[in-house]
Amino acid sequence: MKKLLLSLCLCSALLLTGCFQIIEEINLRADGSGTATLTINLSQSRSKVASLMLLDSVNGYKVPSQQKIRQEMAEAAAFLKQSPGISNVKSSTDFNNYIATISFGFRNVANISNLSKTILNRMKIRSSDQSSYSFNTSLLQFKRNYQHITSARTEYAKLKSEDKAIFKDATYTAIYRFEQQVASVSNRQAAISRSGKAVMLRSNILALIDGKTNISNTVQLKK
Amino acid sequence: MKKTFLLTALLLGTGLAYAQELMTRIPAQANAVATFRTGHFFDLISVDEFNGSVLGKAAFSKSANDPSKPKTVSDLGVDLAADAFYFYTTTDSVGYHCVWLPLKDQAKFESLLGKGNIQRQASSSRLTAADSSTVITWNEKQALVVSPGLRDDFFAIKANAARHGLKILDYQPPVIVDSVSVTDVAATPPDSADLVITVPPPIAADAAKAATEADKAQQKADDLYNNYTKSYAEQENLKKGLALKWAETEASRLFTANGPGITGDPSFSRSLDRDAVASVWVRNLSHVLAPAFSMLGFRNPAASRSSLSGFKTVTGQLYFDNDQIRLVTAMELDKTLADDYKRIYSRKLNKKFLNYVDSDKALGFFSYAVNTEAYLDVFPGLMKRTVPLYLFGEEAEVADLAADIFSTVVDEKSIGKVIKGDALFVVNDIRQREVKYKSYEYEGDDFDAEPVEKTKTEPSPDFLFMFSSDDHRIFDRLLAMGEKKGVLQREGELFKVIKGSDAVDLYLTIRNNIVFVGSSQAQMQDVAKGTIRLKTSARHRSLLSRNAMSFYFGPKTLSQKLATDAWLRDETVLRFNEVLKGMGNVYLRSGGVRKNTVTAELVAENGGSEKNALAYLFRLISAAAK
Repeated sequence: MKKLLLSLCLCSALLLTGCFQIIEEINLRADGSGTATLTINLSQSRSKVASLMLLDSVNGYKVPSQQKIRQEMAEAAAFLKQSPGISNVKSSTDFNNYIATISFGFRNVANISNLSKTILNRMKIRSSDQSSYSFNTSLLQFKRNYQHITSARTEYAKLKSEDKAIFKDATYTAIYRFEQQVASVSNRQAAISRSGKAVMLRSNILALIDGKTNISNTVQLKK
Repeated sequence: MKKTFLLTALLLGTGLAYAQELMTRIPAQANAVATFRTGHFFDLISVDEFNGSVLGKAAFSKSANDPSKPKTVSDLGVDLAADAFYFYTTTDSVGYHCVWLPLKDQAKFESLLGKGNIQRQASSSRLTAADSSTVITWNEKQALVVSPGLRDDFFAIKANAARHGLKILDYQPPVIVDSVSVTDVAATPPDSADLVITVPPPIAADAAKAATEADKAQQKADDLYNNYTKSYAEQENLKKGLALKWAETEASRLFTANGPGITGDPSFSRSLDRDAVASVWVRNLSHVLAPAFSMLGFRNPAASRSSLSGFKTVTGQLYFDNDQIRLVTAMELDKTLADDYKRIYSRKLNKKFLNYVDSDKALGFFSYAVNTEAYLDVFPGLMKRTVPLYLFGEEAEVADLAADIFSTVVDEKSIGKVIKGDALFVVNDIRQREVKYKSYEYEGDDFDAEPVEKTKTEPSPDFLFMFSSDDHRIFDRLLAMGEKKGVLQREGELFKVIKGSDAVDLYLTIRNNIVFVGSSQAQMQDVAKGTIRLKTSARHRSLLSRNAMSFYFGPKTLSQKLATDAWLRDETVLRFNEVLKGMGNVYLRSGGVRKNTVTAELVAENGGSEKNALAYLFRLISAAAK
């Protein structure tokens, strides 16, 4: 019997090893307005996610149904629509590939400060993202402030090893696109595109949880 | 040599006699007895080996830094050469969970008990746990632990409770009326005569007065609740006191008991086997299940006790032989239930199934054989006997009606032809399967997101599932419909699932009155053409054909499959594989009903070179803990 239990425990650890992507895209106009898109891509783990979604709960966590996820997305979209300066909210869920996307327009980039975290929270995804965004139209300077929350590390440490495996290869990607050329970026990990008008910063989610990576960035545009 | 032999025989004889003596102090009316043959256990693994093992260290890890606490199993003061017993006895009003421990060192045993208030008597000592839940009585030879539990179903009857100075509390939370929202109370009379309105009808015009009335009502409700909780605590204390008093009396009675005790019970005596390291005997499963259902919240426990009358004695024996671990269980049924189960298990596994098991390559299989027609036929009767009274309480006739409707509507014979009741699931391989997924690349001039299709490998089992169907017209039609709807793609007699989840490839076919579902295209093509030729070992043939239910898992075969670079890159697989390498085969079998008894046996073979299966188990636990 012990052998069976052992096999089952180890198999469940194998089953739960997976990865996902979180992608944040912001297209910013010169006047500070623009569009933002947040994508969560579980496609790489989709067969595992599909198996898990057949269950009611895994490792003590409730597994949401497709209907529940759609409802959460609709609620997140409704919340956004009511948020000041936010317009043209669209959301989509692809249950073949397990990709969820939410996009919207904003009057000023400052309107989206903390939105990422709120949306993730509403989708029942824990986030350590303490974001604030600002754009100084006269200095043509875009600022993305990020502050690591130490409790994220503590909470992560409390997880069982099989649950931790979920974050092993998870990545976070932030892309900021501008109408003007980028003069400089403060974050060394950030890359500037060939056109010189976009900045990308990639990080492993574990590094964010650990506080080893800081995704704060100041992008100075050419005048 | 002769002297040594004589001395050993004398010592063994003394040990056996003493074990027997402790066993006689288990009351004759005990409902359940579990025996742990400590001496046999430590014959198989030495005390030093146990103390040095992962389990031995884990058991005493918390007391490592406390000099007053035991560090090894030898420090417990328990006689490691004699048997220990757990038993459960019950009356109509109380149940006792008891443990008999043979002692070797009274002082060491007492040091485990801490600094409680020990009552010393001439022939024994006694300690009551701080929470009054347990009474421990001991002398230099033995210790008895008694933990009482009053029976809720007995004390739910007012007269019984009153006889022991207890009250049944009837708390009904009052309904607080919202004084502001209610405008016409007279128009909405209470639905039930039991409804308690604690405040007079408020007058909407005088909101302030109504609010004061509501406050008073709330206060009254709070007082009522506080009084209830106080009375509840008092009653619980009284119950605890009563249980403790009874436990002390029971402990005294057991400690000085004379006579054969449980050893005089023929059913218990038959169940004894000194080769087993641990044994369990339950006099009547129905009597154990009924209070359990009661605890789980099912109503009408008294009625359920009589309704669950089909199950009788249950026994279980755990053996650690040299070459295998064996767990053997048997459950006796009454004649009616046994006859029903005999009919259900009257089918043997389809012999043709044996052609689809490759014993050298299969990682495992699971089979069962029941007679669907007989099962559907006896099901309403089984449902009437076991389900209604505890599930439906007083509404038992609802279940009766449901059983009769089921019996009328279902055509047992026809269903029995469509699904005969035997099935076999074989896992043949585990392989790295290439799966597609969607990702994004940001290589454009502006890091524009470009969705791209990528591939990765995932573990995927290769399996073959089959069941017999003498009338498979319904499945033929389902396959034809699937093809028409574009869910299935036909290749000769083989159907491939082309829509739905791509987590696993699925193929279906029907041949020789067997419906097959499999994940390997090559194997399923052979199945469909009838060209499959596999070698099933004599052991697997016997396991499958002689049992109503069987299970096999071959850890070494799985380990060989995983021994490739592609698998062993993963650290978890690497660790898993190390454990698998040292494991022997695992079998589970149940032969159905024989002589009114259902038996089942779990066998785990010694997969290493250890002297016996207990040493093997300890090595396995140690490997898994790394």
